[in-house]
Amino acid sequence: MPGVGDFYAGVLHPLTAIECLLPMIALGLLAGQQVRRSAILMLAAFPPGLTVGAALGSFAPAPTVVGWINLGSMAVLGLLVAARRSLPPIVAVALSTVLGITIGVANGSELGSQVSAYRFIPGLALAGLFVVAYGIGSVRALRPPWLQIGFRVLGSWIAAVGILVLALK
Amino acid sequence: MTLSALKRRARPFAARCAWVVSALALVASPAFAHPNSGLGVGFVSGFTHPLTGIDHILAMVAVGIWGTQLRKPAIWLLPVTFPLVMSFGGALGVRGVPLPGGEIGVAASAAILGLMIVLSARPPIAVAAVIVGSFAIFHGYAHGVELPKAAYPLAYGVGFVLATGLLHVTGIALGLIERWPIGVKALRGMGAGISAVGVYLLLGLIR
Repeated sequence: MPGVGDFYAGVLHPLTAIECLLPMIALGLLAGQQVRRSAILMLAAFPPGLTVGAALGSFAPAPTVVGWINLGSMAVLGLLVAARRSLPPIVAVALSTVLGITIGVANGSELGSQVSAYRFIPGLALAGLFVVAYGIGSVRALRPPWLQIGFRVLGSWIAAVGILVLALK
Repeated sequence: MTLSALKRRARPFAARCAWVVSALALVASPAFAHPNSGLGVGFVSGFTHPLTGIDHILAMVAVGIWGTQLRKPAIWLLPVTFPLVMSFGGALGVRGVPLPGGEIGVAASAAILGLMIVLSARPPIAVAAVIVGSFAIFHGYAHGVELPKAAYPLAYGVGFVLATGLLHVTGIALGLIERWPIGVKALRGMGAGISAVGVYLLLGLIR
């Protein structure tokens, strides 16, 4: 994005791509539905995953399986949110880390040669941190049962979009 | 209620509203910033697709209204599971799997769901789920058929899932008026109207 600093490019990149934004939102909502310890671990694992993934992605173009995984994660995470599934902490952290890596690879591989990776990647990590933190905060802060159902519905919508686009491929 | 009591109750509500509004504001802008690019066009075409058919609109609102009549657990189970079943129908449409009587199914859904509202029918949740689920497949199919042709399929998918979901929410919000006796009558009238339009379209299709 010309005219925007590399750091801001890193922040905006995942936020303007639906196929990255929706899985991140789903992850944030899922984290909010877990117990506090799992939520914090998921939040802590995500930005490092993004950083590692983006670093990997900046060296080589992303293999197509990464795109599949991101779409699939929309479906899987969306379903988990809709079902309000409680996960064992290990599984939760693993999901968070793996998703961080795949989204990081997807974003990092789009780094042009003009963009400085040292500024882009921290921006990316920060954006990821914010989205997941927002998701956790929303689910925790908005207590009324109908709003909690609303978050489950949101998860259902995200899963629906993921399933539809997967069917297309 | 005294003013101070009202203020006490309003404060946490206002804080929650602020949270929701800010979240929406943060998320909403990127998609609409460039309406002429592929992303915006895809989203808009997806969002408007459910709104192009009156039978789509009426049936989705009817699902919301009937959900409130069925009470728990349908009132939350339906909005949570409907998009998923719809996406399955949509996947069928995307793959081009032939589904006999696609448009008839959509018109029939309006007719039958309207009838359910008029009768305030409360079948067992499993029966209601099967009825609504089968209609969800038809509706999803109708949207899914258009998905591959969309400028930006992902945005199209987001658009129509969002539009359908918002129509549900509208239906649920309308259904809440049943706490007043006149609301109950109004809902019956709405159900009759929905059913009438559905039957009319159905007859037009069968001819």
